[in-house]
Amino acid sequence: MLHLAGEVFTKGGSRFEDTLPEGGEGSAKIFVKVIPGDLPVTIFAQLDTGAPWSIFDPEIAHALGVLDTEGEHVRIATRLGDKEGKLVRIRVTLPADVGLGVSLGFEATVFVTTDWPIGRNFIGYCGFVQGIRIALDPQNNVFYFGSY
Amino acid sequence: MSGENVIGALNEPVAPRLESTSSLSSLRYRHSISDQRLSSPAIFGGERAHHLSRRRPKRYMAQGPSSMPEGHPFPIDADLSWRRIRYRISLEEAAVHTRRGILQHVGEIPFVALIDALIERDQVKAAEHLAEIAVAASGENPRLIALRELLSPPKLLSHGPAVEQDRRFETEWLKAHREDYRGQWVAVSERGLVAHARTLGDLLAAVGTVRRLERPLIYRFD
Repeated sequence: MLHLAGEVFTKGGSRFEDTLPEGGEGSAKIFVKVIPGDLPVTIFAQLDTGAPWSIFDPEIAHALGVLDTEGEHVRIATRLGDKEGKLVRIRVTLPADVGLGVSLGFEATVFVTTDWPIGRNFIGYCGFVQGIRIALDPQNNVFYFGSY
Repeated sequence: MSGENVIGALNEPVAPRLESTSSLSSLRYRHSISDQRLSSPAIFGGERAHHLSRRRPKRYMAQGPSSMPEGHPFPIDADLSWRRIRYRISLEEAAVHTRRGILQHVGEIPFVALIDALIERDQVKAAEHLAEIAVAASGENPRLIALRELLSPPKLLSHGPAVEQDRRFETEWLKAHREDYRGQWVAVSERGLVAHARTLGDLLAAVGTVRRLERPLIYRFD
């Protein structure tokens, strides 16, 4: 639990990875652990506060049941070019590591599309980071998070 | 009203953009709409109340905005050129104006298309503002309400127990076996490989039958 000016700032934390198992990233990034919906697994998602939207890969979206259902179709600009897809509201959990506080479950807005590489998930600003408090300890690879 | 006009209006800087400093009344307005838009039939139903030819006389203007007659939405400063004034309207004022019936033809405004256009241009904050205005103006339009929800900040649902652990073992395992599972999903726990499959659906099915009590880390190799 982190404090800021005497007040609780974050309540949970988890270790993040700065490279993917496959490598391929030119420089260190921040891959945090996320539990999408009620899936019984944990995934890595790249924290990218410069990205306007969070993006889950199409197989994750399909497993959550949001890829083939009705939704608000939009076209957004991504690092892979303009993509057409849907904005959906789904439950996401930022799981805390044991000994690092409590997990945070919230309803976030995520962009899903079939036109996206499988296995590449991103946490962006709108509908996700904008509503939580975050802090990083890059020397120890710890991602702290909390709610308002 | 064109999409360009709305996009431009919603992205105007917050500070009033007046050619003169003499208008205190104009400070009340935060969103910018040009005089051209004020006379737009799409917004004001073709009413001529704001047309240049129907300006109030100067002696009336000098009394300030508090003396404006009921129903007149925009204070007027006689010292300013009408063609240079940009009015600013807050969300709350927009809602009030809507109740007064100023946006009589609000149903004709393609709010959804305009919001989509803003999203496409990465103007998400403006899209969020427009969604708020659209819902206030249009009532219970389910699609606009859904859009407003999508554009709103995340909603906290719960705090829960810590369920994760240090995944260094799993990531090291994945690095060591990346050539073995090209094009596959892999589920790994602190005890090693849990399951692997070509599709996530198959992987989740395998995870569910193998070790229900563990929450494995999954990864998909290119």
